[in-house]
Amino acid sequence: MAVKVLILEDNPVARGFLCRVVRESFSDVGGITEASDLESVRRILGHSAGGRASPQAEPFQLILVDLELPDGSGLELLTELSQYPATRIVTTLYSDDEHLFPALQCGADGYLLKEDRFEVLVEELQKIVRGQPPLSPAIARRLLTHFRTGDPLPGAQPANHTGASAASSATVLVASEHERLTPRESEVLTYLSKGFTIKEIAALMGIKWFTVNDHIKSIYKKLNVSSRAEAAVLASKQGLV
Amino acid sequence: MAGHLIASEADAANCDPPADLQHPWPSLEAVLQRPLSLPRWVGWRLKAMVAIVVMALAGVLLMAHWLASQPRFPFSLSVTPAGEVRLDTADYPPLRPLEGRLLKSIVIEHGGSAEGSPAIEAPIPPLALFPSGRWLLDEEGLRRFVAGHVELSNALDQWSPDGVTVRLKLQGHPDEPILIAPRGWAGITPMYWVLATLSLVVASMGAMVLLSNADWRYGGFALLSMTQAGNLLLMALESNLGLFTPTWLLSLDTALRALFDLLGAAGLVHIALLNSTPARHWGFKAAAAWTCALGLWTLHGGLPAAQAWWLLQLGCAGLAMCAIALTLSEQRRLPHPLNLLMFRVLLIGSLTWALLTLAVWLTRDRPDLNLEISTWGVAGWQTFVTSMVLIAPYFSRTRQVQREFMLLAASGTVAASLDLLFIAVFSMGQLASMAISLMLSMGLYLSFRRWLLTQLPRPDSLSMEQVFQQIYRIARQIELQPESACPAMSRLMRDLFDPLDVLIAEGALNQVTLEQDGGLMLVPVPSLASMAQTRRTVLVIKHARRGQHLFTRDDCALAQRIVEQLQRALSFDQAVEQGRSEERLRIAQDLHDDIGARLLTLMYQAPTPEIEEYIRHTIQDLKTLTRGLAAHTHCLTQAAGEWKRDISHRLSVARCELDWQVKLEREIGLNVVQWSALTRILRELVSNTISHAQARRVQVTLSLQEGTLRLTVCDDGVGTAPETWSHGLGLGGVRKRVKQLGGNVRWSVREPQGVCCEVDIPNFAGACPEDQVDQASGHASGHASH
Repeated sequence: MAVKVLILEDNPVARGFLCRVVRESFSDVGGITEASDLESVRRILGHSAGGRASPQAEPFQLILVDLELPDGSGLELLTELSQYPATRIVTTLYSDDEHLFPALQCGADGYLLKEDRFEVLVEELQKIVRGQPPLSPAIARRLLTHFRTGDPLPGAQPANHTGASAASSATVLVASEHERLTPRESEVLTYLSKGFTIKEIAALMGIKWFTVNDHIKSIYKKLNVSSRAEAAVLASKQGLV
Repeated sequence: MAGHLIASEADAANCDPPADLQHPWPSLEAVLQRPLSLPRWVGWRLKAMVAIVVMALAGVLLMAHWLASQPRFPFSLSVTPAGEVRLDTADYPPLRPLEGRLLKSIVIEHGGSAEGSPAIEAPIPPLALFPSGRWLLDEEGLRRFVAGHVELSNALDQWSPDGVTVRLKLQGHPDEPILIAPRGWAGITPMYWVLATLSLVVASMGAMVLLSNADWRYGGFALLSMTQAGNLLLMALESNLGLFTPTWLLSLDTALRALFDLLGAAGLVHIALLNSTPARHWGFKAAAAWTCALGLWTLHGGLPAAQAWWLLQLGCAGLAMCAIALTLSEQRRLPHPLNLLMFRVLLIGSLTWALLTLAVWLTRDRPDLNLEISTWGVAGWQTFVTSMVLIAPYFSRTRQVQREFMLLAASGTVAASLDLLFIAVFSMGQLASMAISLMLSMGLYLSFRRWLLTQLPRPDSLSMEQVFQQIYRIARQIELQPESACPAMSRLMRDLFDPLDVLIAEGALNQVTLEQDGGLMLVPVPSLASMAQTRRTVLVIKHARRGQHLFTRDDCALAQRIVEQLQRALSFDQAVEQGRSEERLRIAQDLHDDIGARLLTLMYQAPTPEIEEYIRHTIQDLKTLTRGLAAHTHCLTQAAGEWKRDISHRLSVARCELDWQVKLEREIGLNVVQWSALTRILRELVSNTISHAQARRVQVTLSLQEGTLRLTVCDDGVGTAPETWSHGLGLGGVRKRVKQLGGNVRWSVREPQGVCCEVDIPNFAGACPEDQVDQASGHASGHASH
């Protein structure tokens, strides 16, 4: 089955570059739809701003979203896509956790840094789609604090960029009813926060690397499971589901 | 990865605020063992207070009205050393010649002399001049005292408000007719007004204390003040009635004064039991004291006068001794300045009581001295005790007033005793002795006051300068570590007040307040505005000067000023810092967004891989720069984690293995300059290896030992003779940044192949001073940044 891809990116050169990355990554790309702002994406997906995007007859399986867009933040789209059965990937120039953490909480399945080399991006993209989401030390540390204390995350609060503010309301709510991490998951996160790679962690913990990977996936799930549940409640309240 | 700093999960996220490290302080209510400030003077309390004061005032005025209608002599009488009654000072000029004559008796002719009805002669025994039977200690004397009054009142039973003319039988002088008229309002002596006002004030004070805090302890105090008020009121009446005291009042007065004295002493025991903290089984003990007082009173009514008097005096003294003993044992159990104060007051009161008793007993054969002592001595003692009672609720007010009062009371006592001495020893006149003694004691008071005020050790052990330094140091510290506010504040308070104990409790308080009558001071701990939603804490400071003193209003005001200053310093610094970081963020964001996007476009369109790589490098530098601008401080372990990930990512793309080792003797915070310099040094060295060395394996070690930060990057590549390398942009940058950090860098050739670069930075200090990092690590492995 051919993979349908949606790329949201305002810089045409970067868009072209990402198209090449996608085509290189998958042999069965069915079609790439390109959009340069939120408005056109909403037109393509058929929903209004603030609403929920529901899958059409032939849904997209992969959606790449830039965070900085001329008419808003990519986080808005991620929130609207919370019910959409696609792999959502954030493509950004920002590598700091202040930007990436809210994106993950809004339901992103992974992130790509746009300045990485072509081969690196291809490899990372394949990994994410296969279910090996990346987790930087800074984000792992953030997650540890988040799960241990249920603190509202600092990244969600500063008004220093437009991106995070959109997600802030969701983020603060998430924190109150987070799920707890298993001891193994906290151990994995602790190693990740110190910069260990998955292979090294597997060696240190005496487990297989794909077990470590499973832990990471489970952490990812716990990270936004409550935000999704909350989104569903919100949607049903508004009569959208 | 053996050498890697492996830490427990607890400190993995250690640069974040240690939210779970805040100790669960007890709440303020739990520390004080009672709810915070009761609502005072609301509703019925205020109404009851006003009603009590109005009623008491009405009572005093009614009594004055009754006094005004009572008869009086137009002269005053005194007793000579020989035990005879002497006419002392006359009100009217025609009577002046009589001054100094001895008075035998008064002759009253009923219905006027014209009808020749028999005249009644009422002798005036010297004992009748005593104000009250309370201080007459022998049976015979008391009998004569009562008989004198009875005869006089029998003789005067025809007396009408229009006045009656009587004849005075004087020794060595013809009889002198005088008119005994009602006293009238103008005739009420100032003594009555002074004593009655004092009584009114004491009674109101007792009622106020009881109404504002309705509990047993204040009940005891209220009763004590009521007994004092009663005694004073009786004295006020006696001072005006004199010889004309009605017989019903005579017995009532004697009985009431005995009762008041005993109840007052029992009240002291009651207060001693509850003074600072309730003693064990205080209920039983207090009940025993009250029963004892009432029992003694009942007993004393049935005894002969002398024994009854001694029973009374000793009973009061015994109860007071009980109170003293209880206070001392309480002080030993739980030191509290109130106990100390109580002990002193009780001791002075009991000693003067003993002296008074002794003086009355010793002078029992000298009616003149005995009269002086039982009139003025008792009045002086009573006034002294009353003023003690009056000032008791205000002991925690300004220390200055307290000191002045002590001096005044002391000089008053000196004046009274000098007065008695002069009269007794030099047989001086009343006025002359009083004038001299007053003058002497005033002189004494003034000279002592000066000496005391200059000699007393200054209460502030810290100079103002030191306090200011401390305040600003604490402000800095709180900014870096908000959780250090409590320990820092309590240290300052310890330095200032030298208290017995400082507790930390949880609770919100707007200003510094005194609790337990100055035994405790509550100081709110200033916090950052951003911490407003977190738990507020309050310092509960126990007993100033190692438990020897109460906190005064001055202390309270000083602490309040310190808290305000600190809060102001905090908010000012915070505003400055906020402005600074907002500006930095804005610059960083502009740089990142605009230039980053342009560079990215340029990179995608780069004609050659070299240029593409160069631009990628530039983008990464730009990101490092903007992140450095946006963040304040980084932790070394966290930064190391990110470096490791970055490098292993890059090396894995270059198919190269990474051996990463970190050994840190302690955690430190990196400031922006240090973080960005180290980030770039590492990146540059690794880039160099990737692009030139064709290495299979790169070894990076980072260590912090004895204050020296050492970073080595070694490879097994093809590089040789590093001294011949052209130090282009990359390696020149490395040198520049190492120099910026105050270190040195050198390259060497490894065996069998490869190049090693060593960076040494001696005296590598973190972003925050070491002592603060150490203090923070007392909490956990936390430190000053997030």
